[in-house]
Amino acid sequence: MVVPTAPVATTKLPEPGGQRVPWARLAAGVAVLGVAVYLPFYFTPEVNTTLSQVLYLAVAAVGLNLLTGYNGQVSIGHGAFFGIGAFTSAVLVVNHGWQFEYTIPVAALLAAGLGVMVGFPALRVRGLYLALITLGLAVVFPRVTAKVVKGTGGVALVRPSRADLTSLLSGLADDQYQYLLCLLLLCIVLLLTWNLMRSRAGRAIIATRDHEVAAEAVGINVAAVKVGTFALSAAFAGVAGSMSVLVDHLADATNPITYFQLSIEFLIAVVIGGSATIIGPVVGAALLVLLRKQTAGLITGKEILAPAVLGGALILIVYVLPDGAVGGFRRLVARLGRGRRRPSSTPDPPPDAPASLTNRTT
Amino acid sequence: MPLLTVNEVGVRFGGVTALDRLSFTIEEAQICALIGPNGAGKTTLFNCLSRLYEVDEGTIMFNGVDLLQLSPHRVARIGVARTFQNLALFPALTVLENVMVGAHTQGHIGFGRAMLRLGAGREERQLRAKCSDILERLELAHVAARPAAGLPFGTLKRIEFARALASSPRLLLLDEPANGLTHGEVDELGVAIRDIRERFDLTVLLVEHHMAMVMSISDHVVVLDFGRKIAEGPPAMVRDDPAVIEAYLGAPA
Ligand SMILES: Nc1ncnc2c1ncn2[C@@H]1O[C@H](COP(=O)(O)OP(=O)(O)O)[C@@H](O)[C@H]1O
Ligand SMILES: [Mg+2]
Repeated sequence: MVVPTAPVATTKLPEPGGQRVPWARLAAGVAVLGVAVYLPFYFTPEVNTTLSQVLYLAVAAVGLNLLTGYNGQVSIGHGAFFGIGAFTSAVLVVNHGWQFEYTIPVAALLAAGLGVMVGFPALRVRGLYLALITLGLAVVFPRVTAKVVKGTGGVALVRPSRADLTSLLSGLADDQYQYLLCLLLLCIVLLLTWNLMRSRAGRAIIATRDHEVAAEAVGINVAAVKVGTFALSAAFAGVAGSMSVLVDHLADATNPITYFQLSIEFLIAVVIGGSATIIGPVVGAALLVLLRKQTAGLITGKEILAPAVLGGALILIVYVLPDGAVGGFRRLVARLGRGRRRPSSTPDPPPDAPASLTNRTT
Repeated sequence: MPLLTVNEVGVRFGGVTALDRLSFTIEEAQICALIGPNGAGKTTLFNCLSRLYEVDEGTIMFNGVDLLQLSPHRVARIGVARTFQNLALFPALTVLENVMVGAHTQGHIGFGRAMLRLGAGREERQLRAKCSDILERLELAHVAARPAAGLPFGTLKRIEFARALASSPRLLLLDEPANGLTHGEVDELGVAIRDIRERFDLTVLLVEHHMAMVMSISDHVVVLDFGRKIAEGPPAMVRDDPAVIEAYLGAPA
């Protein structure tokens, strides 16, 4: 069976084994982190809230990227896992008086559980069919939730009060605390993902995407890898949903397309940032929120046009950067590097006989 | 006891009988060649051994284990590795990473420990050292860091070979490894297979059309035609067997 594969941007795994320490990258990472920690003390509470939204969107996109980018299982239903996380946290805080921070692992676990439940049937379908099934999940989620969850007024909307979500750290304003907690969670999720992808398990995730038969033949339990990736990916989306309650003070299933829309946004963040890269989804989430803000302000009075402008901008980005912002950046660096390279560097073997690697017939 | 016993194995696809009650055995440390015209059922047998195809009848025992009871990913674990007639590499991974995927059964760190980096660094170093060594032996060290996509065909064939070796198999299944190689490369490959058999303590089942290579390196030859075994024995004997000559040159009028 020949599955039409998208032109896979060469998945550059982080150097396995960490032979060379990438000092330049490390320094850049520390600098970025330093700035990120400083930001909430510089901006207004409104801006901080927007930045926190970028952070939770990024966590969800990192999760989706694990599944769709690295493992090749397309999901346009991750809004549902996000929603599970959001409602778990909101209900625990509002109805059961939990401290918000403790609800995060519960949200992750429940989302992972739903991920397993979807992951098993997902073993039997792929590509567009899987996309359709997950789409159904995102569409069904708010309706089921509306039946199960009754907030004030009997609708599926849970609104934790400000007092429920106050800062645990004295000396920090609520918006600053929220931002920093979101930043911490994003860093944890990124670290876990990075560790995973530079291990035996990470290679198994990619191998399963690239050639299932060959993966099975080298001893990879393809079904377990796929279901496991689904669960982990869903757990990250659940954490993102939980974070959204902290930031937006809201878990809302009254509008049936909210979670579908979110699913699409996660996918957009993955694609424009750079799928199958560690940091791409974060860049994509930032770009997406930036674009959303810009296009919304662009045409005051004609807000109805905003989605069209946003859509146009996204098409343009994907056209100019087919492998996302991170892919584009890498190509730029490679080009600059080639310009500088001394002639004594190892010559490239001739690129003769471009053999097809994706021939599935055995 | 033979390492591999194929007993009365039959596989049908609709009206086509791909394997017709095929029986043969491979002794430990042998190089056994499986030859026959195109469509004779050689790849089908490989696919039965790696549990990609279900057999309709018969049994396959490997090292005392009933192979047909295993799920496909368990086959590598008990020591059977293979290459594919058409390449089946992981294009997005580098050459070294492809070979490290081949060593999947040699590691044990799963999702949880990998994410928390509990023992993962050590395992990575071990796998990397082992696989770098294999690349070295197959003269692939210079391409280790390059993505597998876009390398020349002969190189890709050798990478598949390296990937199969990385699982430290007892039985290595090679499906037309010389296919697409130049004459010089074929000779080198023949030497390499013998050499690797010694070094890695391997048993080899080889499907190959290159008669010169088959005759020079194998200890035992099994000839298939339309899914049936038509001859078996040492290379010199099989080469002169009238049934074999007929199968290869077409039936006399
Ligand atoms: N998956 C399959 N579906 C249908 N027929 C198949 C399949 N695999 C192999 N065959 C048929 O089985 C026969 C043997 O094929 P194969 O094992 O590939 O031959 P060989 O490798 O010796 O050239 C051929 O007639 C082929 O068409
Ligand atoms: Mg064949």
